[in-house]
Amino acid sequence: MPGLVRALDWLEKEVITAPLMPVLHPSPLRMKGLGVFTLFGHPLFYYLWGAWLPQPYENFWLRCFTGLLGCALISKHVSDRPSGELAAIVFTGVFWFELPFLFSWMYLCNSGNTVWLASVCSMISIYYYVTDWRIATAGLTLGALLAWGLFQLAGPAAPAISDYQLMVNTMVISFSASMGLLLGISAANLRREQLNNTLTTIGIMAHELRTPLSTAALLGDALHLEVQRQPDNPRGPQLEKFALRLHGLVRNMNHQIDTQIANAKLQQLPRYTELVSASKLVNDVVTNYPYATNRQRACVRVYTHQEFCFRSSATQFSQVLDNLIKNAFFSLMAADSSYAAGALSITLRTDLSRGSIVVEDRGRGIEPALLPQIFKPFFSSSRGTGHGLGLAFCHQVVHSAGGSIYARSEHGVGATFTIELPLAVSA
Amino acid sequence: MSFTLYRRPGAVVFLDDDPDYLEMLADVMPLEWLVRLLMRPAACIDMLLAEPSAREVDLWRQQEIINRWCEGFALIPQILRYWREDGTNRFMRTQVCVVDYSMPFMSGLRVLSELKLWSGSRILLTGRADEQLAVSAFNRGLIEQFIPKQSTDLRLRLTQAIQSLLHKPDPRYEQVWRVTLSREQNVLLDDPVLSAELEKLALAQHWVEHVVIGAPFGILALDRKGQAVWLQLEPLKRLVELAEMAASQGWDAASVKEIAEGKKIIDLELQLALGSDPARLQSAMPVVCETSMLYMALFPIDERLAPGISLSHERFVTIHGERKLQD
Repeated sequence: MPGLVRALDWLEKEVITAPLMPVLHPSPLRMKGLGVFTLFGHPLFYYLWGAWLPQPYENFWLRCFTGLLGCALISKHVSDRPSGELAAIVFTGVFWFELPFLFSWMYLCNSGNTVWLASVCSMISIYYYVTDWRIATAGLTLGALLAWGLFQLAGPAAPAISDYQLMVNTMVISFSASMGLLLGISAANLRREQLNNTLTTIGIMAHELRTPLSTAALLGDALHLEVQRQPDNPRGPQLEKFALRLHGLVRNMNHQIDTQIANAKLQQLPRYTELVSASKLVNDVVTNYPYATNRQRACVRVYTHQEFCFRSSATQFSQVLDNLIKNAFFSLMAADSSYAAGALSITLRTDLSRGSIVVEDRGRGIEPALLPQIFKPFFSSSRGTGHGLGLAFCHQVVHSAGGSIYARSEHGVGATFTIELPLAVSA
Repeated sequence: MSFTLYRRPGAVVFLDDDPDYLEMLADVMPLEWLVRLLMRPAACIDMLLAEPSAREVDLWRQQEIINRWCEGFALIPQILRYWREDGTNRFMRTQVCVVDYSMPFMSGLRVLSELKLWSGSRILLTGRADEQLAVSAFNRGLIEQFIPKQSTDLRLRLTQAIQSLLHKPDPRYEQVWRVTLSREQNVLLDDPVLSAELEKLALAQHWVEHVVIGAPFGILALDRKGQAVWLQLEPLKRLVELAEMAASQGWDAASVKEIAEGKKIIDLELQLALGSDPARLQSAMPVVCETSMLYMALFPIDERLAPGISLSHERFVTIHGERKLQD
């Protein structure tokens, strides 16, 4: 039954594994726009269907209440951080109430007349357009059921609908809902494909640089060998210095490529359960990091209050710390730091069940408004210099190790990234 | 590790689609190697697959030596003649092939899988992203080793890996020469202390080619200048016998005593095999093996019997060793 297995795989990938996106295209402007439409749209339509082109049923208080829900979307907490958790909850709640629930209620109270049949169909398209198709499907079902229940209990006396009309309406609504579902799924799929393609491209680019780089390293070797073959050459030490420079440069670039490739594999990270010693990891990373200057190297401090072990991949976690250190140096540089001792510190400690690795810098810090988004792929606080995958990678690796990562920052003072991990018993 | 019974130098082939990379490799690989640089996988496959038949002919030549030895002809003059007659043909054959994984049209693994009939060693160069593939290729026995292109000290890692593969014993050749050794001699050659001592000596004496034989027991070797040398190996319990042989040949009592005590070694058997020259005495180097003592001494062989400088590996590399890209 390979067909069934494939179908189950597909179902699992599309329905369960794919990340939930309650707000499609999150942007502050869009959020505010939707809020304003809600706020003024409902009173307007109350006038339209109540007075100007009167329909059998309208409800002033219901329209007022729904309109006011728009304020929640416009409010600063939600519209400034459209990708945040709060925005997701508010958005989902408001749109569930004003779309499937309200429209179903009005449809029932107006005996499924032409106006409300057309409105329900538009509502279905809109709903699939603003939110994840899984939320839309569940929301439609739930909204319709609740509205029908309430209508049976406390609905106004509406004239019954003919069997013929009922069948016509059901067909039209089913058509609308099935198209909404189909297009919703394929749009979600397309979004993920595009992200994957971009990530793959980054990986290929990085990979293509390997050979020219190792050619450069060999050039350094050739210089070095040439100096050895002519021990009396007075310029020998100078050439030797160039060879060393070249080697340093190649090492640095290879390190960058490793980081970018690791970051680009974001979506296909294999799970590892190797036992990793936190202090060894941190010390290795701090020792091997390709510092730009000696001052950078000197400003790093490692404080090990308690050593601990956790389960993950040492290689992946080295990349996580590399990313955090790289960001910290970037932030220090942006703040024109003099790299005082301890300007970048890494602290290890444990409490009862969790170990934490805290990376702290006294750099430029992160704007509070940006904080909730920094772990999302392709979010970068400095457009033009980073592609914004580093922290998304960190998030992914830390989560797959059963841990969590969060950031605190005061703008202009510095930033603290805390990784919390479940402790593993060392063998 | 047991000491290799038959070792000889061979060529190293690099296959990569990037000419700059190949040229830099050529500049940093040890000068005494014969290095070939190829850009086209098809050319590389054709070249290497032409080699097995020449190898069979060579193995058959060596087997003939053994067959004649069984009929009663001495090994040493036969081997020296074989080297002189072969000239430098045997140095041409490739022993190690280094292939880049990512090439247009044909992946390194495809190339390697088409080279199954070729008997040399294979190294795969990879980028980090192909590491999993390299591991599986290694597990399937397609390659002896893989080295990531971005490794720090790439040159050093590559040189060491190639060097150790160049020194890796070829089982077919080992099999040919194993038959001349007695069981005790085999056990001795497995001794790690002796193996290490012999490797050290081979390096110090610049041997490029050698063969271990059992009758007489020792190593016939060629250095890079084409000079032949005989390293005679004498286990402790053979010393008395050797001393008696010297006495019967009319050597003075003092020399006979030195031989019996393991201070000197006499090349009676070498001279017997080669003809009429008078035997020579050389100071013995004792080796304390794990199970017993062994004494060894170096005896140079007449230049007229050796291949000489014109057929030497050094001259061969000077003539054929220009490292240019073959397209």
